[in-house]
Amino acid sequence: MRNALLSTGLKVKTAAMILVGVAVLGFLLFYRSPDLSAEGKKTVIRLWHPWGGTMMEAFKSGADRFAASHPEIGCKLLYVPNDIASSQKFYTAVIGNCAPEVMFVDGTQVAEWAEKKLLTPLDDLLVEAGIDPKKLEKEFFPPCWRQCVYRGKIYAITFCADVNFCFFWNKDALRKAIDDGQIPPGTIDPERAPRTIAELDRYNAAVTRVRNTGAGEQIERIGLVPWGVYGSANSIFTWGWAFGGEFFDDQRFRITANDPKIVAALDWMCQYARKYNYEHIATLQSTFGAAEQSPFILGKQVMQLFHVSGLKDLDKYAPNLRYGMAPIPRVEGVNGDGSWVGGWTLAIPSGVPDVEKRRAALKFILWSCASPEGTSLEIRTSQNFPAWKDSPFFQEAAKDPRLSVYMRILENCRHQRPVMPVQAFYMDQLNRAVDRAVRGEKTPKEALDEATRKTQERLDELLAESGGAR
Amino acid sequence: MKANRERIAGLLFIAPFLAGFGIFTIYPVLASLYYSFCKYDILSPPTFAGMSNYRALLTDELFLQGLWNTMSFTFASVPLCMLVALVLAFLLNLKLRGQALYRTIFFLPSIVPVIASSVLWLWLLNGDCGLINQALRPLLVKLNFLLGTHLEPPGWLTHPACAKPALILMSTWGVGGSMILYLAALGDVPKQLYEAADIDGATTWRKTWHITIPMISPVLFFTLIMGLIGSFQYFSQPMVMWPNGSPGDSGLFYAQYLFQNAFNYLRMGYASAQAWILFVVIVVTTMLVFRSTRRFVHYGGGA
Amino acid sequence: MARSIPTTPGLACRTRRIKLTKTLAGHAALIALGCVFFTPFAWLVTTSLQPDKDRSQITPAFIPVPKSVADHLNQAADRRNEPHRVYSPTLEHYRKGLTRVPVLAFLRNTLLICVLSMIGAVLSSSLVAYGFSILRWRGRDAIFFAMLATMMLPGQVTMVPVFAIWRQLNLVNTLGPLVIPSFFGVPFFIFLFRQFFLTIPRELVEAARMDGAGELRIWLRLVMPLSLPVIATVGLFSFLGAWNDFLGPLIYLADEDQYTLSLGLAMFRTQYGSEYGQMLAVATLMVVPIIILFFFTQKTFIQGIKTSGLKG
Repeated sequence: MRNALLSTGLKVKTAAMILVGVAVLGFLLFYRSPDLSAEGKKTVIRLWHPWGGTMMEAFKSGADRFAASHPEIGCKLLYVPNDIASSQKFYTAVIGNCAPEVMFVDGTQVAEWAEKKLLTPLDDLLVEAGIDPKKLEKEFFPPCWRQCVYRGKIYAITFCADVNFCFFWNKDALRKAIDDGQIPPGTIDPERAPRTIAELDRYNAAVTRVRNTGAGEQIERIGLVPWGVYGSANSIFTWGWAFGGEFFDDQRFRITANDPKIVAALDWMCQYARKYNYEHIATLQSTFGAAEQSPFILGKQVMQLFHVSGLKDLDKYAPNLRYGMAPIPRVEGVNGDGSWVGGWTLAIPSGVPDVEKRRAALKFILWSCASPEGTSLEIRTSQNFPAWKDSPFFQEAAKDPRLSVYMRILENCRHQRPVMPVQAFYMDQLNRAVDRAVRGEKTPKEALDEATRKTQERLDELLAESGGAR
Repeated sequence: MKANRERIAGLLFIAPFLAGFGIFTIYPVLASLYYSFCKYDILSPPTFAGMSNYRALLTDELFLQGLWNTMSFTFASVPLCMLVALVLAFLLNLKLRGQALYRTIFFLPSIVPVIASSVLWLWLLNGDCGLINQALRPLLVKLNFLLGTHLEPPGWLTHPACAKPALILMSTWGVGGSMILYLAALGDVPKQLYEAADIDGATTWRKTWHITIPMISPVLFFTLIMGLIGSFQYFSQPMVMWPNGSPGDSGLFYAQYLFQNAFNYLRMGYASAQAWILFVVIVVTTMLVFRSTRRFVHYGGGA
Repeated sequence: MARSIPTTPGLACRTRRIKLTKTLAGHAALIALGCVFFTPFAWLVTTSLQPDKDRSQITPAFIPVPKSVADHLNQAADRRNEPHRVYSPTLEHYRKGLTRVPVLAFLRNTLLICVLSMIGAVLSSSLVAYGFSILRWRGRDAIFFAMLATMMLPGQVTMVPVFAIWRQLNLVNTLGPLVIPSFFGVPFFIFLFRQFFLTIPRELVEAARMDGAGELRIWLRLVMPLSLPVIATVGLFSFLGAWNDFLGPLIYLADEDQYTLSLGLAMFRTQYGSEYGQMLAVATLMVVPIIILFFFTQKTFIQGIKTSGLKG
């Protein structure tokens, strides 16, 4: 009996395995994915883009719109995740001579790839298409244009202007601190943002509350964490400019991370680390990436700088939070805003021999970055401000009280990350310098001196390699 | 005559490997060796630069720190993982009810995508309110009260001293593969050996030490060597956890710095020199392991 | 075992008690460890079922319960000013995740790569391992060590020349680079096969030779049938390796029609606007079939090479 059962069990199992096998085989043989390629078009350009997640459909529908208005050009999209491995894909493709005709390039990468001759200069193509580069330049927000120009040549056009950053403060938390008697009434107005660094310090001191748990102190509430602005390097860029510093001398190709004003900025950051114990603040911040875990959204941090995508996260995860928005506080006497711009650009990799394809690629770039239709697509509504001033998008955005704050910041923006060919290296060095300094292992001056020296060495080495001594 | 025939047969059997080696391995390996003596940015042809890359490495703090991090991680995590896998395999080999389920469960972490488990770890290890510290804090409060100490729960992800222990802890989750291999080997130990030992009145401990371990030693050896090779080249986990750099570079691993040099800074020559130094380190370590374990690895069929 | 030792009834009773204690202790240990090892998967599933808003607290709610219960408990938690521990699950992420990315097409590509590389890995690696273990010849161990050494050089520095070779062969943007290498034998699996082949009693092989069997025949008819667990293990590992491979498909494929599931997972990530919930939903769907397959075939992995009767 038992044996019989066992053998039926075995049979069933074998049958199941065979069935699974046949199913897999059948699927492999007969499943055909719908054909997505752009057939029947005269010129087909391949386009690598990083728009996944919520952006993917928006971007694809944008590309469809392009195809509709340009019947002669077909666009073949390839999603290439914005991942540490993507540069491997690009370099191997260049070596293998199979790079795409158009691709999205992170603004920080343009100069490096231009120096390595990986990108096609657009100047002649523009002229050939009847466009005056000088005139085009005027149509763009200046830092957005500048991040694409290396050694006098245009290598890319900015697709989206990442406005870095807007200052947010939690009005309810400030009011609560006043109600709790933590802030003497009349000293801080919860409806008003701090304008200067000195004022910011005052707000910070007022709202921060530390609790003794019996097993070390724990921060219950903190103001702003100066090194917690999208990573240490972006933080030092932000505060360095807010203090009036400059990171790079593009006339002499000198790294100037140890500019006294940047040293002062880092020193200011370190004061917070000392005052509230770096370790305790750091633990607050240690969850990565995921927006819903941001201490600002959770109410533990009262002030924070956000990229425009922060708005969406706030709507999604903290719809009831009452907050205000303002430009970044800066040191008194510093001219203009400390805010700066980053963002994705579109470029044509070098080694596209076919003239028709190059022309088509340029058409796509101009349509996406500098045409009324291309700059007011659905993808813009999420978080992608155009860099082109005349975009109809801005007329819409001006009606939105929150977006208009970002617009004002963008209009006043004066900075972009240094346009030079060892950007990635520089940012890693800055990350390291901030880490060492706030942790107290080095003085701000020592840390920034080291970052300056190492990056300069690297830059000189690279320029010597490519024979373009400066 | 026979020896000759067996040699030809042997070469024929390994012919697929030799072919693949010839087509896909020799050239890239030699090329990378050559690059290590060059200035090479991937995109333009390499130019010979003698020993300069190697010389520069000697004074590169990050290189040395990466080497140290990697070595200490390897020497802690490889034995620990083997131990955990072995304990799991022994437990499962008790042949208790429901072992199919248990086996599946222990194998689970090995198939969950790294991105998911990394996010989980970040939440577990969060120094402020992670589950681990939430559990630790009340304990430490009591302890501090009793002993008058000032202990604090560690900042797992933010303190340089804690980063590596956290990673080592994490690595023990992925022992499912080794566990399966051990189980396969355990199932293969002849029952008669145990029966004979029972008659001699041997204790469980003695049986484990004198029968089980030697009988599964080929697989132990395999996991040891593979564990070494793998963890010397480990870097993806810390890269996911600290995308902007780990505290005090305590989570900067050798292969990560190598990767950065190769593809972020376009210093492929420098990276190749690093790779070849790592190669030598691994080869030497593996040879030492081969030598020192020769006496302990027991092959039923004889090598 | 107990049968072979003459015992008195009292002793038998004690042995039984010891055995019971051992069983209980074993279960206790297995359950405790099981909980620890189950967490990542439980986390994966629970996050994939969780509405986004419930993730927004420092320790996200992690126990799925029916909506009415969730509302009740969470209101209570709000009153006590405690974080939420429960949530009411939703399939929204699955629904959206499956439509956002062409999962079926990616599944087909992935399976094709997985099955082919599995076949390649098992066939070639076992053949090569036979040459490295059962056959004895001079120079064998030197070549074997050289093979191991190829695993010791970090792949990052050979990747560019390897890509150039595939380009020369005109196989970039095909499945070739992802599948063909396994047909040349994978060092990891060769080593693994070798370790098991070396435990096969010599006498068996010699006897087969005496009977006039050729080496290929011995490999196919004697060694392979004895090695089912290793074959299954190699199959599993190579399948999983191909299933989760990200870098290979990313570099070698240049057509979205050919993308694999692991690249599909990456499609839920982007600089601003990642959909982690949907990503984990698809990840769960990627993991579950493997778990089921493993659960039902696991006996194969561990039954042991059936030579027990012959050894010792």
